[in-house]
Amino acid sequence: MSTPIPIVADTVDRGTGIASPRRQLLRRMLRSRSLVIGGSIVLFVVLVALLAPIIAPFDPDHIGTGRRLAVPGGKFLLGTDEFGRDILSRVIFGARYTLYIGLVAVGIGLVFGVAIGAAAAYAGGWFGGLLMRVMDLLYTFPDVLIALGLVAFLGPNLTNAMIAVGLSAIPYYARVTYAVVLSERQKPYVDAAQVVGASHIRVVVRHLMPNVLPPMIVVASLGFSAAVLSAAALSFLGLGAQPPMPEWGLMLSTGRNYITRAPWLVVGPGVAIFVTVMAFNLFGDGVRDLLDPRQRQRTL
Amino acid sequence: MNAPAPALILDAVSKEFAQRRSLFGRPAAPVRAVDTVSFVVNPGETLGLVGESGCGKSTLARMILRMTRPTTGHVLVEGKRVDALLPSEVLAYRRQIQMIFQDPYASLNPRIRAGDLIGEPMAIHGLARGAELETRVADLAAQVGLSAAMLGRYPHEFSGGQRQRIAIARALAVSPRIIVADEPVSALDVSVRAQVLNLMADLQTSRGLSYVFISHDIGTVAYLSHRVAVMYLGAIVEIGPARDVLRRPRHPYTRLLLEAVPVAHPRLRVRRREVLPGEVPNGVGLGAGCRFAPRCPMAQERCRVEAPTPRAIDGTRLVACHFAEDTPDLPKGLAA
Repeated sequence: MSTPIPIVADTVDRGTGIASPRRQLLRRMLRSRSLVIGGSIVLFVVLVALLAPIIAPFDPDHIGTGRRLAVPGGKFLLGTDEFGRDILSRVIFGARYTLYIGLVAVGIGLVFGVAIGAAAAYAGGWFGGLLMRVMDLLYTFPDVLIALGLVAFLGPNLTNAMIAVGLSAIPYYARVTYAVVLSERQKPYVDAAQVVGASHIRVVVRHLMPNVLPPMIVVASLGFSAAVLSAAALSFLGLGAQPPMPEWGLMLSTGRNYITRAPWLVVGPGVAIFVTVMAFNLFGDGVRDLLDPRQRQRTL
Repeated sequence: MNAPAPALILDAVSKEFAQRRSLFGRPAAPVRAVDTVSFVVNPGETLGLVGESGCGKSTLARMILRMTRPTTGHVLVEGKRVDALLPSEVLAYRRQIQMIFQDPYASLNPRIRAGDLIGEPMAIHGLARGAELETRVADLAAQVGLSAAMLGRYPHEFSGGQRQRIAIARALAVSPRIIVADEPVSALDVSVRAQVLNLMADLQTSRGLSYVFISHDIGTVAYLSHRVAVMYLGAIVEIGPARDVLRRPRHPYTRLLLEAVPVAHPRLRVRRREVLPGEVPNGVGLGAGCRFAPRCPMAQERCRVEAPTPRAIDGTRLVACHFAEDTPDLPKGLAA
């Protein structure tokens, strides 16, 4: 009866009596399985991309490293492709393209999307309405379709594919930004900034953006996987990366011809795309759950 | 009457809000949030503005601060019409008049450090920069009772009272002559209210500030105000020197507000009060009569037909009531 009940001692920091926000955050991050799993895989992919020249066993572009279409195992863990190139090395170098594509495409989408969404939400009125209706219109088309059209227009190479994927994602970022800015601009600190004499530009850049961008991290990491998929799809269709680039989508596309005789040609890049996309989705979900406690129990 | 020019003049200011019309509905009558409000605030003076929530106090503040335009009438700050300022005059106007917001939890940007919040107005108005800006920020912080060491913190790391001090320092940064304080202490713990009010009073003395002090709480208004204006449904029903209005209210609404103030002394609590019945109507389609008549304990036939115009009573105040002279005095011990 008289044993003292420990009152959730582990959430209390000795010094202040309150767990410091940073430690609380860390604890919550570690407790989120999707964040931990997704984050570790993302980190792994990033490391692989950075260290590709060191960890890849062979030159990814060297023709005739081994026999043509060698079965996985032994010297060639994932086998060789139709030119005798080591597939593992190609998959490892492919991580670089994938991350690069994702970053550029998300960057383009974010910069323009945030600018358009914020302008529309802040200005409001017919201007904001018109801007968002245009975005809605573009949003009704599948991203890949728009990207396809843009690449057809710009010419098929990897750079144009990245630009196309980025541009096609603008409506998505614009809509999310629009919603966030719309709710932020109602808050009294915006009035307060205007009363003090801040210009519209200043209100948007200095006051709204710091409050709008953190939620955009989530959107960006989810958008990242979508961009990777779209770019891979474009490359698969021959509208993105061109041979002999070790780009995953392109590798799938060329490997497809041998799918009955040498299925390992598509297994390597296919699994790589799958794992990377899943990792970014998990990571994004995890961050969202951290920022928005109301939706927490929905994932993993 | 050779008083200096008023710092702030409201000249028959009204604000109407159009109501959204349902798809097939008739266009609804606009809501009159503020109805022909006129008053002046003299340099160094505090005008207390009291009224229930929803009576138009905050809309009035927004018009004074140029956040919305009056539908009719004018606001004049230092003799200049606020709604007719040239773009080049706006910053100068903002250096004359600043605002303290109700909720210091919401009115301070959560992602900007206290020091930057206080320094921002000076940067915007080009009053100081670099090292000078920093010393002036520290200076201001000291004036409102914050130490320089706290300036690197974010708003959520402060208590409510400290946050309101940051907001006050921010308002003072451009050395305004007038400060509109919209319920500056209502979001604070009772224990720190007095501190913030005292700070405001001290700053008024040292800087000669004029305040428009908006509150639903007649007690805090009484504490700081030289003159008091009582608002009901968008209109001022009584305005005059704080002592007179709060001790001998002549408008029945003022009287009821004062009667509703809780009394600390237990023996005085006996047999109280006609509490104000009903809710504030919404100001749509006000009838012909006095706006307070539906809730007024003294209302007579005349009140329902004829709206009272404000008239001078006792020489010092204006009261919008046909029967101002008949309003009974407050019970003993109740005067704020």
